[in-house]
Amino acid sequence: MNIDTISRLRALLAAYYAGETSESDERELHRLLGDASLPDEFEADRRMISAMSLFAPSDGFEKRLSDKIDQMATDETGRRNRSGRFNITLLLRVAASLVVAVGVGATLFFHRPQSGSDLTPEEAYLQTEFALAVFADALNKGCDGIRLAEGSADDGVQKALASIGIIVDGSGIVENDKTI
Amino acid sequence: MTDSKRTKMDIVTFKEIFIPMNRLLYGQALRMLRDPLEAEDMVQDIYVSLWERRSELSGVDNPQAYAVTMLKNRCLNRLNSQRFTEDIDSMQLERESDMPSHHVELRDRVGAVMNLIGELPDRQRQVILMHDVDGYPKEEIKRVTGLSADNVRQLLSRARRFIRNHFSKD
Repeated sequence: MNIDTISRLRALLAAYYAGETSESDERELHRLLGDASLPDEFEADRRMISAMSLFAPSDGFEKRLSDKIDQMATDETGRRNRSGRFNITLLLRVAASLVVAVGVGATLFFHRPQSGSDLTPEEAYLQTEFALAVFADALNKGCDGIRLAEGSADDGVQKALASIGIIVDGSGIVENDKTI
Repeated sequence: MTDSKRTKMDIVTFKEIFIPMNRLLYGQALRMLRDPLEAEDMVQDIYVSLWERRSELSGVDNPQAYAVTMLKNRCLNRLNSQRFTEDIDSMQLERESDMPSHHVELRDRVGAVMNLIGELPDRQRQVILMHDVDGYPKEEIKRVTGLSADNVRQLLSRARRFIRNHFSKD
């Protein structure tokens, strides 16, 4: 640090402690006090003014804030655009769903099967019960007919066999007292 | 705040109003938190909150007072939560041991200067806080305090000399 610089530093320090420095003076003061070849006699000033400089934000802080605001504005615009596209898509989907639902509803309404009667559940139960009873009765009659026919057939066969001399018993057929 | 019309402030107006007060907000945050890095983080958070609330800001009569109040409340919350967690000494030691030594040193230097400022007579303290911490120009200090330009300069001079003489003894 040459003699002129040291003189300049002394003048700036005097102005600083007199409360007469401008912002640019103080920037110059910080620069000079940060010089690696600063004489030891300024060490106390360097420490104090360096500590005082912490009361101002770091270099570029204002720029960082400005950039942050720009970024927030950009992000917000992006979100708004994306949300606009989403709404249009959503509206299209809802509209398509409504068209399908209305179509299915109309088809079912206009082509529904015609019902034949307006029975109550109790009436339907009684009718079903009656129909089942008629069916059971008819089924029983059929079974009786079959049994009657079987009996008649057995008698006819017995008579025919007897007429030709063959007797059928539980152990087999006997022809003229000889078992066949 | 008026409820008449709540339109979102545009980015140009927002920057014009709030960016110039960053130094003041930083100084206020530093006074309370006594940590330069935390103070910058806090101010950034405040700008984010201000941006998100800018539909309310159009009706704010004094945006600076609004921002400073928001910042002070946020700092108080931070300090209260720190006090709550730092009731146990071991937790405080653990927190400091996690910090880089440079960060701890910055905090210590700010704390030392703030303690010295706290020892100053009222007028000197008021003037040095306004000028060197909050970044007000001397003209604004004159207007706010009602002091003459020469008084402002003298009070600032005495305060700086006091700090220089006592800080170098540490």
